[in-house]
Amino acid sequence: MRAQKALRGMTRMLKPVLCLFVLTASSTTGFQLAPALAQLRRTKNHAVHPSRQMQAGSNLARHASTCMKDRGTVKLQEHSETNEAAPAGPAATAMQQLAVLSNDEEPTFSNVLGFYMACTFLSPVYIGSHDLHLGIPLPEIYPDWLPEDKRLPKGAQQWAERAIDAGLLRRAAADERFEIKYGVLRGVSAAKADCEPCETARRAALREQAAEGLTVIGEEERGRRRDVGTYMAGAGSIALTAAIATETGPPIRFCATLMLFLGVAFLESARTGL
Amino acid sequence: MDGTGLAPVPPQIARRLRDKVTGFDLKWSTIGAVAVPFLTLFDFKAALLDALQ
Repeated sequence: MRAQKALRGMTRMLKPVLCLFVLTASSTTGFQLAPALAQLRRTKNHAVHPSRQMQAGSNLARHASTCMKDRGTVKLQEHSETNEAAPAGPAATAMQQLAVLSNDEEPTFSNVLGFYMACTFLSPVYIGSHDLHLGIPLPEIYPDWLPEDKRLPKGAQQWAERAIDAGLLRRAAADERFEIKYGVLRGVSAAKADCEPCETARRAALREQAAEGLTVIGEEERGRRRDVGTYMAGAGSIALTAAIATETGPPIRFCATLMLFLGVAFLESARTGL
Repeated sequence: MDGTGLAPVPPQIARRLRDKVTGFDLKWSTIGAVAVPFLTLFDFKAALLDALQ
C-alpha cells in the first residue's frame, strides 16, 4: 500500500515536469525545424518560379508597409529598414493610389483583408500616443471591386473628424512619417520625409543591405519583436503547462497556446527579418 | 522612383523577397493551424498516464 501511495505521489509530482518537458521538446523541435525549412526554401530560391507570387491581399499589405506605388515592381522595404513605414503627409494620397492600383482585384477575403490592412498602416488618423499607436483605416475612396457591404459606413469620416476634435483620435502632421512597431502598431519616425543627400545615401545603403539579406524589417523592429516574442513565448509556455497540469478547459488552453504560438512566431520573425 | 529618392529594386530581388515572405507566411500559418488545435484539445493527461503505466 505504501509503495502504491508513494508511486501515486511521485506520478502526481512528475506530471507537471513531464508536461513541461513535452512542451519544451515541442518548441525546441520547432526551432530546430525552422532553419532546416529555411534552408530548403533557400535551395528552392535558386530557381524561383515566376508563378509563385504573393497573394494579392498580402501584396496590398506590402504596399502599405513599404509605401510602394508601382505595382509592376515590388520595392524592398527601405522604409522598414529605416523603420519608416509610410509618409504621414501623403498618406491619404497613398491610400487613394492603393484603391486605384488594386482595381483589378477580386473581392476575396484575402484581398479585402489586405486592403484594410494597407489602409490601417497608411492612415494619417490614429489612436494612441505619438510614439506608439494604432492606425485607423479610413479610406476616402474604395477600389471598384470592393462591394458596398464591405465598406465602412458613410458617416465614418465625419465620426473620425468629431473624434479628432474631441481628442480621442489624432491626425499626423503633413511632414510626419511612420515606422512599424511590434508588427501591428506604428510610431511617428524621427526621420524627415525630405531626402537630403546624406539621408538618401543612408537609405540606399539600407536598401542594399536589405536586398542582400532579403529582409523586410530593420534591426530596431527585429529587436522589439525579439523582446515581445521572448516574453510571450515564456508566459505562454508557463500558462499552457499550468493549464495542462491543472486540467483546465479548452478555452484557457487555447488562450495559452495562442500566446505561445504568437511568441514563437515573433521570435522567428525577428530571426529571419520577415 | 517611389518617393524615397531611390531607384526601384531589381525585379529578380523583388521576386526572391516576395517568395521568401510567402514561404514564411505559409509556414507559420500551417504550423499554427496544426499546433494550436493540437495543444488545445490533446488529452495530455491520458497520454501521460498511458505512458507511465
